[in-house]
Amino acid sequence: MPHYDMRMRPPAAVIEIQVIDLVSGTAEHVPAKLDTGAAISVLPQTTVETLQLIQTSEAAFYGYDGVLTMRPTYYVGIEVAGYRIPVIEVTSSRRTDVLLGRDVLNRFIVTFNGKDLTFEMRDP
Amino acid sequence: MATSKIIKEVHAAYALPFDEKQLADHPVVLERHGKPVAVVIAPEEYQAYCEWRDADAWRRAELDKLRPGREAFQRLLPELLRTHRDQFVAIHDGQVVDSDADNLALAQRVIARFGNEQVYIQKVCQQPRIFELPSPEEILNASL
Repeated sequence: MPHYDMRMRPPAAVIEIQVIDLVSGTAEHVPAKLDTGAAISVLPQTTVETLQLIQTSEAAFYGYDGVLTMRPTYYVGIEVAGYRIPVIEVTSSRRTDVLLGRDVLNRFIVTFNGKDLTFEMRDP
Repeated sequence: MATSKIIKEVHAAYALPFDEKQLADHPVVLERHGKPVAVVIAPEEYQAYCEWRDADAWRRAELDKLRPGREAFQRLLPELLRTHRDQFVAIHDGQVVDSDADNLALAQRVIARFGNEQVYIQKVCQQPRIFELPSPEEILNASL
């Protein structure tokens, strides 16, 4: 079982994923934090710039403080835990890691063992 | 050829008496003739503000690129509400080019067909889609 990332305070379940531009096929490896609170996944702004992703839609997002913000969304492919998801809709913000939201997590059996600081992510 | 210049009287420099320690508690508002003209904040706060402003400018620029598609969508919305309610539509060059109840299937088809060209995909409904994103944003610089 993978261990939590101990550099996070407190430690968090982080997994390396690949974000794939559906037009060019270009991919980037990015660390992704498993976030069951996020309805959809969030890419770092730098990944959008590196892959030259084209914004295709927009939606309103409300944060922990209840403030609504319009954000662009993008369609990308991802590869996570050895599985390829052909297309998901994501948004972007100024972060250094991906937030892997329920749009992705709900396709897997995810087990968090907080006592042991390990987790497992597998596709049934 | 001679040039003429107007000699102006030099105004007195403004004095700005305040205790820097105040900035740790609250910003200092500078007023002239009873109206606020500037606000002085601590350098750490200014740094955090600049980062927020840059991120917000980037978000706005990304949204701005969607403007032609958004405007076409809003123009077509009354008719689309009758013909495609609760479906997703793809708009290219001001026209609906495809639709589907599944936005992911639609996106795959549209990207395969139009590649890097700007296409606007949106759900046909009165209100914008709303997603929950409660995770706090990453703060790169902050002061207590």
